[in-house]
Amino acid sequence: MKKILLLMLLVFSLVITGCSFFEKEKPQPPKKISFTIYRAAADGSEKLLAEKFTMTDNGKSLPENALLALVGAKPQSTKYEDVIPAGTRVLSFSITPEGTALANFSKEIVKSGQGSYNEVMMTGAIVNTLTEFPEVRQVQILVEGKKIITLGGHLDVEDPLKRDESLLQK
Amino acid sequence: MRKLFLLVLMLCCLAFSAVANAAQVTDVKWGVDKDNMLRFVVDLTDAAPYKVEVNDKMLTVVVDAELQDKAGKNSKTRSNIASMMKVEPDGNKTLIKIPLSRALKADEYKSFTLRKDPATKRPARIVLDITAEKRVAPASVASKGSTPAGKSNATVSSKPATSVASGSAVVGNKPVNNSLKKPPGVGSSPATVSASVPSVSLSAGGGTIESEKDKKKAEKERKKKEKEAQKKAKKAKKNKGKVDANKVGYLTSGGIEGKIITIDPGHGGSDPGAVGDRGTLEKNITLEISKRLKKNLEEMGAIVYMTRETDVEVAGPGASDVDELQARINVAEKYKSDLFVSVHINSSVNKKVGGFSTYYYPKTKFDAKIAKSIQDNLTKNFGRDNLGLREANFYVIKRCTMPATLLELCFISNKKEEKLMRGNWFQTKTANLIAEGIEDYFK
Repeated sequence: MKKILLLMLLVFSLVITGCSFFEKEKPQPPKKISFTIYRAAADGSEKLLAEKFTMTDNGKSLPENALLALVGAKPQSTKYEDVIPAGTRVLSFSITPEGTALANFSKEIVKSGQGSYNEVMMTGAIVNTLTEFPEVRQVQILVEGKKIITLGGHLDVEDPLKRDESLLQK
Repeated sequence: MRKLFLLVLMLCCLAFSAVANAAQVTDVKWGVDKDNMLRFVVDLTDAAPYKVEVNDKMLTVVVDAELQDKAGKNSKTRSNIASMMKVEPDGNKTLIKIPLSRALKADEYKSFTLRKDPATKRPARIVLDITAEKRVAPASVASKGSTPAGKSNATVSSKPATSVASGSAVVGNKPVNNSLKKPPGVGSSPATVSASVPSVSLSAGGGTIESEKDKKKAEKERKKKEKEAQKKAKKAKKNKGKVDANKVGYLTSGGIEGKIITIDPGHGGSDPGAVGDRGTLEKNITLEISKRLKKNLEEMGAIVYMTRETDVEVAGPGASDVDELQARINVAEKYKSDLFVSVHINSSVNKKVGGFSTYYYPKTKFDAKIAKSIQDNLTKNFGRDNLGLREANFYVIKRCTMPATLLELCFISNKKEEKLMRGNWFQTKTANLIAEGIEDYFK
């Protein structure tokens, strides 16, 4: 048992030093990436507004960064509204070869006792943000790794969701 | 090894029992409903014993549960019986002190508990209702459809709410039944109307009648219409309950008479739906509007079923969100309905949002048609832009076989609209407009 632990520790330290060693060899200026995320309009017009988001490249894919920004970052202006329940995290994200984004959220995203407006705007923001990228055709929402039928008792999100252009501000 | 196992087991048991005993008060809310009843709700992590003490002008609720730090809020509300409450810890107990403007009689307050409901994620609750200042509806007619419509002062249901609720989920602040007894278009009791006329434009039909002659003529016409409506409603009721075993599919044309319509008042029972700042519960408003809608449709000759007619869960207490949604569809399927209409009130964290939205799921070409027909009628008559016709995959309208629509009738989170929807004027008017929209659809 102890031996395994030691071995693991060794491998771990190797990985860490290996990484930093590699980085030192090729110093890169921080690369900026930018993308569009969709947020609910704060004026109550039941529309999604595009918000431009710029950040340092962290090696993750654009769709994943967009989802992380939508869920984790505060809106940059008061004209946007954050409709994702507080405490929600993205647990994992991947895109199947068929173009279905698997967006896996923590259980905080499940919240009853709200009107359907929030559910519509929230799923709309997630799906429209992700389908902005050509590699994503549709979005499967998962909670703690599993398909869920409804997030708030109104919408049926068991099957993959398609982009809803009618929610976008024209 | 075995000893160790036993020890761990014992520790586990100990820990478990300790947790089970430590119920905590997580929140204390209070508010006044539209009938001026004052309600306190104590949220608990687990059921806990409690007692209510009345000592002259001080009402104290002693809860055998610890007060969580963040729950300790003293707040004010607009009630003429009590203007403030104090929540304070007392050792392992929590005291809720409510100074009263006058002493209470035993039948002027009641308390009951609500169980924890994992399905809707609602905590265990203690509810205390003070009905001392509760208004009783002036002259509401018994809700049975058999009462002749013309005699609006027939039976007065002025029973004060003194009965003690027996721990069931039926919550006492359901609006007193003041269901509409006059056909659409005829001004209902002016007292309730004037109280809540908002800044939106009134539809035709409420036009002023000037001369005495016209008045008489209108009265005659009204009576004639009422009679016709009654006849139709009677006929429709006679056909109710007879499910045609040979019926396949649904009907979409040929007039509304004889069509089978299932109305689904959103939420109910332990699930209040969205809650407004003034304590308005979505489930109560959806039921009131649905009842009025049912009556209107029956007068047009439709056969109408409701997923619920009282304040209950359709799938029974403790059912999951999904079972509850499915139970509503099952009602429509059971009676081979031609149309399914789900009535909801919207809510948003954004308090500015307001208005009507009508949703459909395009599983047949008729889903959009019925949604448009209702939405057009609503927006035209409420003088709003037609922005609210939307496609969305709501469970209840997606998974049923017949054409369906889900109506979100204004926002409970919007101060103005919350006030509006509590009133008879709004509830009656929306029900009338929805019924007209459905009538148009079947033309």
